Amino acid sequence: MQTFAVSPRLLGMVGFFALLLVALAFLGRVPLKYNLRNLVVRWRVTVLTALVFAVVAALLTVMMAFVNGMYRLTQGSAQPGNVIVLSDGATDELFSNLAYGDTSDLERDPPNVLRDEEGRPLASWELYIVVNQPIPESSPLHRKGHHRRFLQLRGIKDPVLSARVHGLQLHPGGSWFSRAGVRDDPDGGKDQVIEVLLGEGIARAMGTDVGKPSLAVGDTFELGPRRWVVSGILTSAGTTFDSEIWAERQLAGEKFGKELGYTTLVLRTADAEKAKETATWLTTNFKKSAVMAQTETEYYEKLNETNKQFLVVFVIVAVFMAVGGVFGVMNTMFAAISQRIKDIGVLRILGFARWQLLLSFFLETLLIALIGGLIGLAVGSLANGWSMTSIAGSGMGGGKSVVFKLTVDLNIWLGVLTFILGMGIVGGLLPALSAMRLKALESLR
Amino acid sequence: MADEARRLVFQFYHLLPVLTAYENVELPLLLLPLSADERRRQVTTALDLVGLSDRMWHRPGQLSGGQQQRVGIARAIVTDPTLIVADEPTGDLDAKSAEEIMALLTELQKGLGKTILMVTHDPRAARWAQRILHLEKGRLVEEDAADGQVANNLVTEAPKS
Amino acid sequence: MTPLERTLLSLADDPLRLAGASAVLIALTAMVYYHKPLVFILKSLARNKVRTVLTALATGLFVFVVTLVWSVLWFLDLATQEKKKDLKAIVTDRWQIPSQMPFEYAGPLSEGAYSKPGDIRPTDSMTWQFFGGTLEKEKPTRENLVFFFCMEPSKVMRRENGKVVSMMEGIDQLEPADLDRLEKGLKMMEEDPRRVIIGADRLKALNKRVGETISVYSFNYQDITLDDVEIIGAFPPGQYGQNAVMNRERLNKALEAYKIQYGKPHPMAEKTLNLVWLKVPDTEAYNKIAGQIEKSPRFTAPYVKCETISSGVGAFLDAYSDLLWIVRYPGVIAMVACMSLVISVAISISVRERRTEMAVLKVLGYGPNHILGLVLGEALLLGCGSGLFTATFAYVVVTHLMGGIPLPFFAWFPPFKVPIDALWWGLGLGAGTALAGSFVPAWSARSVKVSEVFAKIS
Repeated sequence: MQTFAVSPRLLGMVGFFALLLVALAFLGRVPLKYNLRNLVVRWRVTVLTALVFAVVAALLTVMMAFVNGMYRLTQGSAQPGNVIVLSDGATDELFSNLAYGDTSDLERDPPNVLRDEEGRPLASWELYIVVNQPIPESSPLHRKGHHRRFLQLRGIKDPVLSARVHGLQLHPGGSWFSRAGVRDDPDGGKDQVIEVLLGEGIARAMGTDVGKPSLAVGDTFELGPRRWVVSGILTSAGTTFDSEIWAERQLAGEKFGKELGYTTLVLRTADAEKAKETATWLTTNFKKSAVMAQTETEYYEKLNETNKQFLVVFVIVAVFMAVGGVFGVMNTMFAAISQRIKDIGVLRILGFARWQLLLSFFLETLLIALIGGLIGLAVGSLANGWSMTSIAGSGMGGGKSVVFKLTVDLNIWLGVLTFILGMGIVGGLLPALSAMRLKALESLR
Repeated sequence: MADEARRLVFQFYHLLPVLTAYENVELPLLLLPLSADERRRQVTTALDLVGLSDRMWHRPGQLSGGQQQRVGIARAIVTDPTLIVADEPTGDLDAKSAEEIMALLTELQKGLGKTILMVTHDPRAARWAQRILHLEKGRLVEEDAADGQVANNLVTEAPKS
Repeated sequence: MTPLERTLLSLADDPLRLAGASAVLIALTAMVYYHKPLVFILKSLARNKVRTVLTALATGLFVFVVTLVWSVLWFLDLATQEKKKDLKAIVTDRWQIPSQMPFEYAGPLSEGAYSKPGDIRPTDSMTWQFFGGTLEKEKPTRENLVFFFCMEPSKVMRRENGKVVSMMEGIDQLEPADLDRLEKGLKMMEEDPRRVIIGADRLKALNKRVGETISVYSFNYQDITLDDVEIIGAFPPGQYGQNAVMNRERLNKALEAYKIQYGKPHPMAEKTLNLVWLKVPDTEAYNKIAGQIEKSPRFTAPYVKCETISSGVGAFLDAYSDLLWIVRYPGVIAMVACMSLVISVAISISVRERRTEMAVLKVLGYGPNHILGLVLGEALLLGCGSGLFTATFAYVVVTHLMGGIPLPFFAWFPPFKVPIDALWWGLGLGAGTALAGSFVPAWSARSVKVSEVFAKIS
């Protein structure tokens, strides 16, 4: 996963390859046009071989875009200055239990916590619940076989503060839920409806249920034994909050059996360094109750475990395909060489050295790889921006359901190109070596 | 070997089919530290000498047998060697083209002072030589001076390449 | 019956699988029947051994990956398919994850909320309470964690009329010797709830052995520590290698003891029951029992829901649906395309090199369709041969030698095996891609003009 964060390393690798290629192209005396024209003369086989590289490149691009998109999502969700506090021993928000008595101390005691204009600590008290929502039978999703979805409900003490801590705002037209958290049923029902803020992703998903592109302010939906109304939509794109529903904590809790307490506390400090300090202080020095604090960056990094597992699977698949492709290109080049034995003999007799011939055929293979790779990259990049759902979790099954976009960026381009060139190098080496070893005059007899 | 190599002319021309006449002739020069301009001068000179300046940009597939052989000769002389070894240069040509090629080779010998060592089965081609060495099973059996002149460069044994 | 025999017998149930198996047999028979052209083709292929080997290897590799991918997808599909008989259903909290219900629900739910005549009961049931903890209070690590299924020992496995009966998936697949040991161990667990059985793989990680006693410091039941936990048996490595079971009495008694010691109930006291499994004979019975449970007034705090296993698995897999889509469509299509391309390259080159030979054959009287057949035959032999071989290899190695591949993110699934269907997948893939890839060069070989070929030579 570090490969994606450290673009300089990739850049370095590709730079090295590029320099190598350029150097080789200059060192070689056999004119490049000889290779190019031969590729054109046997264009059918050239195209077929290039297509193998193209297919591998395209698939790799899409798979990497998936992993990249997930990674960006968790990266984007973390505020560098935030510290997330769970109860000691809780591996996940779901299992965390911050007892009610700790509240104000946890806000006031730790160092570095920023305050707002009224002097209140920037602390977000949250109750994280995962709830089952049956998908209505009228929904097109139900007909496709999806009968339930897992919703992430966050009971919030103060939405304005929480949004601020997480760096979220409301889309125009919405409003924060009121103190009471309820309002009268717009559809005239006798029970009041619970006000919620929705992430953009979940608003879209639930909109599908009723045939709209997205739920909007004022729309209602059913969850559990109550009805709920959308009071605002959060600017959550690119974060894990995209799939969350925020409601007043008391109401959310009592509907689902968690009357008291919170699962999560997020504190805002000025920057990453301060956050680390605060987190360490809380874990070691806060004696009033057992808590576990970490920076949000660390916390989200752990959520990447499942993503890393996906990456491993993708890489294994890509390597298998690459080996197959390498065998394919070896076929092509062996045949090309045996067909051009006379040319090799002539060049040798004219004075070209063995290694120069090796280089020439090697470059020819790399040319095919490059052409195919670029085509594949272009095709695979068309997937950029596609919306996907997946799981972000600790890797042992279960986790948060998240919505993100396939992301093709420079890192992917560089990575795929390097992979393809690597294939070309491995596939081209043996045939080029064999070209080098042919005895010149024998081939001319 | 390399030095001698620049001076070989073959029965089957052995040109690279994907390169033009110009590019084929240029090949030996690519191994020398010459600038592009110098190379151009030498190639055009060589192609001029063999009378193919108007067909520089044609590929071997677009040239007749005789023309291809001339390209082969041009390639052999482009580095201005003193000795040219020709292995059955007329073997694949019809009578008329063969005559043209032999005339060209003689011109190179007389006009440019190049020494030409030719191996051939073709008696008509052999008649153009100043000196003929007959070999049978690799052993010298007879020696003629075709024009009655003793050749300048004495060769006692046919080099077996 | 060995697993192999069982598999072969199961083929008879599904016409599609039967067709696939027949295809393999037919292919093998055809190869024997047409052995003369087969030998000719083999000789042609042997002329350029490097090319043949490279192509076969490339095709084989692709088939291997596609087989593995399809195996996983096949099993996931199987798990989400509704069964018609011997359904298993689970009852859980209707809204919340994780599901936490009071233990009072256990009795009534195990009876399917049977309340009046006309209601039906499930044929079997099982309750699960999850108890997780560490062996080392000060330094909990992944290695010293153990996660117990607290349940009735007899539900893991028992013998009725000599037959093995179990509510747990796959227990009946264990070796008879292991089953006997398990039966004895479970009886011992019933006698003394302090006894537990832990899977061999987990024991290895914990660095403990059967016969030792451990203490478990719980992390999901705060302040509850179970001492004198005696390991009296182990599940063999494999599907249950990481699991551990405990008599549910132990946990329930510990909760009572907490109440006595601290004067108030444990915070988890009303949340200890996690799942109830029910076994029902068919869909009709399932619907009736589900209705009984949902209409019952006893389950209101919290509300419960009843669903079939396949429905539950389906909901779980929903989150992975996009990922699976990528693998299933772009992924497999890409691999199949690459296979075709590689075969196409090899055959194109081969045809190009042998134009003279084709012309000679034509002169000797072989018709154009003969030539077409020979080229296609070459491709088919390469494709089907390597496809069938690799698929069989995958089947034997993964399913029988390795016992399946566990996929970490699907932690609760048994390890994924390659089904015997892989054999005709391999054959089909090989044949399909061979034909697709070789059709164009084969057609051009068919249309070789004798006059052109010989004109060039002279």
